[in-house]
Amino acid sequence: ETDLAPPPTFPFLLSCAARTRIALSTAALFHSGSPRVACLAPTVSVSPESSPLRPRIQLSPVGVDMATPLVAGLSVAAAAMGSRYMLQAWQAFRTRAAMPRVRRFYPGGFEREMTRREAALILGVRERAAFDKIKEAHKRVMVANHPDAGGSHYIASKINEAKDMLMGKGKSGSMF
Amino acid sequence: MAGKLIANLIVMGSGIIGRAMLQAYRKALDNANKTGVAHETINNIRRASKTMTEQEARQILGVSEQSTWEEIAQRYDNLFERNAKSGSFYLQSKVHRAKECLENVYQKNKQDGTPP
Repeated sequence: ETDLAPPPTFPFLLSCAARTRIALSTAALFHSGSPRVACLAPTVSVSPESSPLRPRIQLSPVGVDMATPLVAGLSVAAAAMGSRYMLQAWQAFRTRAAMPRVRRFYPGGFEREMTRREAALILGVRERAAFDKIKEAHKRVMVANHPDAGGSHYIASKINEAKDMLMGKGKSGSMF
Repeated sequence: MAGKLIANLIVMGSGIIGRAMLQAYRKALDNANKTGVAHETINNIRRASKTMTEQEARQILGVSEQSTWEEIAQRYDNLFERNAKSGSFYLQSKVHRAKECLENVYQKNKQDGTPP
């Protein structure tokens, strides 16, 4: 409490009230939810000795109630931003999960001139696999892509060409 | 005397190892050229910006110019599933790329308004 020795007047009271209100607003903005708001609120009182006829006047702090709605608003905003971030993260996760499956396939079409590497890829064997494995793979892949059973002649010719190349009967001169 | 001998051995060993590594490197390059790895790498670089042609896509799926999209989709599903079971992943990839290429062609035709 602050005791004022000189007798108070209306302009003085008004200036005190304005200053108190501004201080409380500033305190609420910077220390929202802080218990120090009560300590920062000065109380203006008039001593009864100077004017015995006028009653004791106390200005209660008006900025204390402003903290609660401000804190609530900030909490709602933070929750909304968090939700939006979670949604974006979830969508990115789904998109990324689907992408590798698409990219895993080999790009483009067949080579213009078949190489041993492509022949091995077509039959699903190694470049230096044994003849028995090459024949077995050729039979298995041809069963899956046979023209008489719904396959295409183009793929069948590619499979036969791959087998010939891997077994050294093709254009390539090297056996292995 | 012993230190000098050891140093001499180290120098000779380094020379021999260096020459051996050089010969191995040259041999590796020759093998790459023979087996087609280098050739395939060059082709991949050249093909990086190109996709499968429509003609090759039709050949892969075994369809003609007058085929409808339903027929193409049916043949694609059939070939894809059978290559997934007993075929190879490479052929499965080619079948998938062929379907993608024809899908783009048919969508373009649909947008232009001309029936395929």
